[in-house]
Amino acid sequence: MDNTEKAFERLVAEQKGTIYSVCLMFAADSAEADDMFQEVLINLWKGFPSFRGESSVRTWVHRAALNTCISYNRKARRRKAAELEIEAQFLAPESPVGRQVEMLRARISCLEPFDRAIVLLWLENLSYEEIGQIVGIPARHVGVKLVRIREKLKNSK
Amino acid sequence: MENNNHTYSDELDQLRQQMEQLNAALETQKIINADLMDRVMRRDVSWFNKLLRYEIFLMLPLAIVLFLAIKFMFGTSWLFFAGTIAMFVLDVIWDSFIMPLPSTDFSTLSLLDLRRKVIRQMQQRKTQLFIELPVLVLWVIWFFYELVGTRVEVFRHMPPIVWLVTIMVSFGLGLLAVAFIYRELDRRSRRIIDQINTFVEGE
Repeated sequence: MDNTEKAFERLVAEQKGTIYSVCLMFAADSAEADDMFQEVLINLWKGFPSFRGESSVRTWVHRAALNTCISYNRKARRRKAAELEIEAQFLAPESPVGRQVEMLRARISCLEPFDRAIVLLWLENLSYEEIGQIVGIPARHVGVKLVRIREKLKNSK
Repeated sequence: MENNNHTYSDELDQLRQQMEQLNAALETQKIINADLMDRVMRRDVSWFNKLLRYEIFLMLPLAIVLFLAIKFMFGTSWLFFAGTIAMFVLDVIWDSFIMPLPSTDFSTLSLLDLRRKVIRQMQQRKTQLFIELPVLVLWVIWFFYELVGTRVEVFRHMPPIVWLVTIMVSFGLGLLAVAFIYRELDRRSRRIIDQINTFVEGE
């Protein structure tokens, strides 16, 4: 294994939870989330040699995760996807984490998809500037959108 | 970096707490393993990249050898040989620019820029088709004109109807191949654009 591969593995090990939670929020089920996760890793790996640190690692990872999950081809799910190392019952609907995911999904699903992406990035502690860079809108609009999103969430209760 | 540009002591903060709990729970899972990383790093290139490699490393050398052979066997002109190879090279170069989104774009472009790029590529493909199709028709006519003017008796005395049918069949087959590739690329681009459009409707 060369240095690039080692560096990439380190990066994935550090960001795996973040990437997977983004996939979980966009996927219809955990099998689809697993497939999306692999697709994100492939896009990250292919983009890794050209990553020069112009944006932070987190912005870069979130951008790849979001773009991949949105453009994900649901009809072409890979047949030979590798198994992920997640405990069998970890995401089951009756498990605490499974319930947590469903609760989060239910709360976020009342939003427009674009707002869903913004709120998801905000929940991941990204700054307005980073969110703006990822979705392609000015940072000041992010703040305005989040105020509206909060209102929508309040009204949807 | 903390995004404390604003404080939302309500719904959003509750969601953030839940997300933090989810992320903390996910940290207890290994998720990645050697098999997964191996598949990610050794994944085959896309079918279009394969097609591009096939054009560069197989079709282009084959075309050079084939048209050189035609030149020496049938006496077609050097101009025709040079023109054919130049067309082929230009087409390969053009193809490399209009290929489907490279994976690097997913990590470097914003969502809206990604959509802009896919739309631009679709327009470029359409332009390529409108320019290359008439050029292809002219090339096929040129090719048969060259063959008619060769020293090979069989070509010189072939009835016009045979020429016409040969031209139509070879052109038709070429057109079918182009249409298939074009349709497949277009279908993929449209899917991405539709999904991003659905996504940004609220924007």
